[in-house]
Amino acid sequence: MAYIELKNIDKFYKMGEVQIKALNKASFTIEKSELAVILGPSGAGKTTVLNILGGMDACDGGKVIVDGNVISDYNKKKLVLYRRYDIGFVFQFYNLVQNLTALENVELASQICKNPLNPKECLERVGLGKRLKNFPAQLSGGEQQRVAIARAIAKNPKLLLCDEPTGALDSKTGRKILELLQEMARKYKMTTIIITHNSNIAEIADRVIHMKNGKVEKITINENPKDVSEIEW
Amino acid sequence: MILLFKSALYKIKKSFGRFLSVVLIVALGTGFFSGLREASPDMLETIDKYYDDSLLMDYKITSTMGLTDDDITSLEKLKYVDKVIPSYSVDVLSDGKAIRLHAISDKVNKVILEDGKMPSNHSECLADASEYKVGDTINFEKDNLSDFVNISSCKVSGTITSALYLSTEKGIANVGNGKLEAFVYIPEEDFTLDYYTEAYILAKGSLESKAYSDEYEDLTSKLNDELQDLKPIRETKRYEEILEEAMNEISKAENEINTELEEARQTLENTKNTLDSNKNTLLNTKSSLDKNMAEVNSREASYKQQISDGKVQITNGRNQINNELNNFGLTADTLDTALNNLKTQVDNCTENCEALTSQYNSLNQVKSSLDELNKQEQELLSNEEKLNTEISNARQQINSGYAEVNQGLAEIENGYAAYNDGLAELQTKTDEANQKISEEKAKLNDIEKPVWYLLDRTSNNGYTSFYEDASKVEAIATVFPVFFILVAMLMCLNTMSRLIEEERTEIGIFTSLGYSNLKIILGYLFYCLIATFIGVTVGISVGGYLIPSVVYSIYNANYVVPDLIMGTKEVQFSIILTCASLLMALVAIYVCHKELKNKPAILLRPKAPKDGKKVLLERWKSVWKRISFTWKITIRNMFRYKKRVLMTIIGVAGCTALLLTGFGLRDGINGIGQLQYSEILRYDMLISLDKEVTELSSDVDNLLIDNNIKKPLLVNQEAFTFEANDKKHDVYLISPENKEEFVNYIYLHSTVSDQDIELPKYGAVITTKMAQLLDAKKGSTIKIRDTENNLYILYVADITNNYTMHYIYMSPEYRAEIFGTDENYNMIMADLDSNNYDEVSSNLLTNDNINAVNYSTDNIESYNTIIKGMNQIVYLIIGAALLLAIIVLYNLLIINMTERKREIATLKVLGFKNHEISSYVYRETIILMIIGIVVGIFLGILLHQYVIITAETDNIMFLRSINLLSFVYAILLTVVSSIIVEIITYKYLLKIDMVESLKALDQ
Repeated sequence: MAYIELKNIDKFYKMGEVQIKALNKASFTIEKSELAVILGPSGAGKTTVLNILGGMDACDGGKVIVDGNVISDYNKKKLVLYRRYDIGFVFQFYNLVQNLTALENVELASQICKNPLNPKECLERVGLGKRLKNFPAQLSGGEQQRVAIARAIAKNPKLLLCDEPTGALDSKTGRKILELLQEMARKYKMTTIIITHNSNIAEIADRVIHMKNGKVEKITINENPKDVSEIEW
Repeated sequence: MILLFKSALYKIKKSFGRFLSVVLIVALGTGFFSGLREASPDMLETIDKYYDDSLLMDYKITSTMGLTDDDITSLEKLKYVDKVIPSYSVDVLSDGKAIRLHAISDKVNKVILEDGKMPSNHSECLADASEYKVGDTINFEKDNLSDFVNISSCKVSGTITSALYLSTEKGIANVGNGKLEAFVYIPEEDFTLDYYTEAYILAKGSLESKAYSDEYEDLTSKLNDELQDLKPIRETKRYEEILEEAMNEISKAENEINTELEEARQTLENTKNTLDSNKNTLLNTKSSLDKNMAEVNSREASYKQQISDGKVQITNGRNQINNELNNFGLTADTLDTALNNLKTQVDNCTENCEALTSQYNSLNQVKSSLDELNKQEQELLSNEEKLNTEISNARQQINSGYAEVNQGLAEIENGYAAYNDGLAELQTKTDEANQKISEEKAKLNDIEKPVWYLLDRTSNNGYTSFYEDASKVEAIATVFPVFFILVAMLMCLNTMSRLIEEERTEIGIFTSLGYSNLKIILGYLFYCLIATFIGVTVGISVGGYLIPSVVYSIYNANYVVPDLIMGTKEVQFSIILTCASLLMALVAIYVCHKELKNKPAILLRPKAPKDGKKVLLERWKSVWKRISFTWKITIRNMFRYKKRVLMTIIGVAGCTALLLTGFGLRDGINGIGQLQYSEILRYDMLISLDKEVTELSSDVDNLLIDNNIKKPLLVNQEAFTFEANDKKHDVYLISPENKEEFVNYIYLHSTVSDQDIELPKYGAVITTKMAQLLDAKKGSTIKIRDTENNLYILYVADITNNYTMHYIYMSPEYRAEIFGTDENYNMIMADLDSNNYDEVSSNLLTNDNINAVNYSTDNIESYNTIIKGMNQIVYLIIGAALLLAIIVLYNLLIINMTERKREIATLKVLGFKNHEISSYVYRETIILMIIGIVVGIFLGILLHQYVIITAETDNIMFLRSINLLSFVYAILLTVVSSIIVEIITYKYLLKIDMVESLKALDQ
């Protein structure tokens, strides 16, 4: 049994009169502690997968299983708890609370969890041990994203979901973020899913899920994923 | 261009709630503003028309000695006088109530017929609509009533209102208990007075100028100057006339009296002469009687002598005879026997007969002498008797003559006594007459110069206070709407800047497409102006009409005035619309301009979120550490969005302040009826007596006992006036018979020392509002005037709590000192052990000494009717305040949530539960609400203080304190309204999509 399993997921959106199929029988699995990349162009259904996996949206057909739990059967209330305890989310635009310091942004997440990690340690882990008391506006984009990652991992989630984590960053900073995410997976055995349209990033992943037009086109397993420093950008 | 307008309309459609809230806030602000603003002009316009329609007098001249045709003629000659209308009025009692009779006139002070018709004959009349109904009969009672009017009652043919009696308090009367209860208009012919009691003057140009305007004041002050000049001239003239008349009268009376006295003296003299002559006659009679008596006496003496002489002769004769008989050895008794024996012897004699015969003859001779003597003695005795009778008769006659004379003399003595009395009486009379004449002459010096009173419209009870009330509305009108307008402006600023910030990109697109700044601004301006236009229209058409009506209906309770005439609102509408539009446009342009300063490229990029910042409190580490994490966020957020925080606080504070003011006003107004009539005036009933008495008569006392009326206390209540701020105020002076019992009926609580007090021996206790008006302190002196305008100066011994009307209380001692008397009372204060008010009243009124009965409970009721209207304004304020709070809070919360959509979505993604999110968002609002409430309470106390003082009329003092419960209500309602808003916005919070967190910042 895979750690994460999506079976024949369908998702429809209504755009006025027209029904759009965002996901069409999409299926894949991800193992525990893997760094997976979901790759695809715009409109391929990556974000829909992310929404469904992250418990932000429900699917219209199929089954989603995370660590043996059938997420697709959860009601809204259960989904909240799922997001709360099982998911760490890293956004493209960081979504830090501007009015909270780096540490506080992390605490914001950790305080609602059952077994949170020490927020300070999390920030040290992402290399921001000395910027604990800075506000987001006082931090660079990369630093802000690190805070976001620290906030995600502080929850000690089953799954770290990253939506275009480098999308708003320059390549140098983006690289550092990816290194960090890889480290999270490798060193701390955190199951991490990165959603991106950048195929170069796929090279660092243990597993790459290629998506196109709402379908999983193929899944490749990298026996030897590259280090971030090795990839071209 | 059209596209921009279309985009504005689309904006309206897109967030209709926001648009609506702008419209509402504008409507509320302008509605309140215009309504309260217009109330005062509308009221004044209505009253001015009323004055003009009824040809209300501008001046009324009265004189202490009435006015003559000459007076009228000289008044008519004045330059500023248009018309002079001489007229009559007199105060009379009708069933114990003081009413004033006026002469019907269509030239001045025209009455308005409310019901019925004009009188068709001289016994019909028009009567006060508030007191009488058509068909009622009104009886008049007054000493020498016929000197004033030739009717003693009249039948009400129609009921009326009069501009002379604006106020439900009709003023002071000079009869009865001094309170004028009603007015009655009777035909002028019914007055029998030979002088005019008053002259009404219509000033030139008065109809053309608005009442209370400067123009009118100017006009009447010119007229006043003229009248002031005329006043002494006419007063002197009239004085001279009266003096001359009086002098003539006195000398005429003097003549009459002197003639009369002379006549009386003559009569007395005649009487004396008669007495004298009578007396003489009587004395003459007496002396002749004396003479007669002397004669009788002498005659008697001579007769008596003769008789006694006769008796002596007889005795002598008898002795001689006895001697002779002795010679014969005989006695008179034995003579006859001897003689008979002798005769027999003679006849039988044969011998010696001669001797015997001679013896016999001698004896016979003796016998005949004896017989002769006896005969003579007999005669003498009968004569004596006869004479005695004669003399005694004569004496008797003379004595009765004496008796007659004596009686006559006694009578004459009485006559003399009467004469002397008469003389003395005459002397007294003469003295008296002289005294009286000199008194009358002295009185000539005392004849007071007649005094003219020049009374302008302010003497009309209610004329000034109506204006003041209208001004009060204006004063309140300036405070209240400030809140609304301030909040409305801030709200619009906030909403517009939010709207424009949200549409940065759109602005950027328009700019990059080459649209000029002006055109872009116009688009937003269009949005803004639609909101303003609709808001102003709604506001003015609802508030502008509703509020003046409500305000006017409130004042209607205190005044008898015609229906409100609403002024046209076009001018006002256009002014307010222009101002509001300008303000709104300024806001829109300011915000647009701020954004448009940026280059299109920057505009197209998302706006950098506001920086987080540490707050001051964080420096205080020991405290900050203890604050829980979520609270920290809340505190930071509050300092982050200063504008919104300020707005929320202002909105909530304004709401609380208005609510508190509203409730406080209600407390202040509602509380006083109860306080005044049961806690301050503690008597159950007040009984007015028909006449002033010195003590409680036993029949009244028994009547009171029979009706369960306890502890009656005689008091004297009289109406006075005092002048403050150029205005006359009525005040009642009350003085009890017994000051110990008085405190059971009037609760005296010093506002100076905050202690219960008793009536002081020296000095008067006056009521708070009066003290305020006069600026009198404990120890000052005040001036009051009675209905005859006599001035009295009183020492203020203390100031006591009181809420309605003005009172002066004084002890009997002080009253005696000021007025020279403390012995007359016209009222009884008493407690009643019964609930049958009507029965007790009718029982009491059967007694002729009792005029009227007044219960405290009735007073509370009538007070409560008066203030019913006031409550409406309070509810208006409360309603507006709630609406304000809801709109402001809704708007702010929605803006808050829209601005923080991403943050909220992120929290949702992070797995925050709904209640956690809402507490995260609402905690700020709740804290701000608490701060707002606290600020609002302070603000409310100040506002309430201001409003309650402005809302007070001259003879009412509202309670200045706010009930604890009102604080609770104000807070509770504020909390409830914010909870309502939170419930409404909670749905919006739930609807925020988590996907928002994934979106790029510019969407």
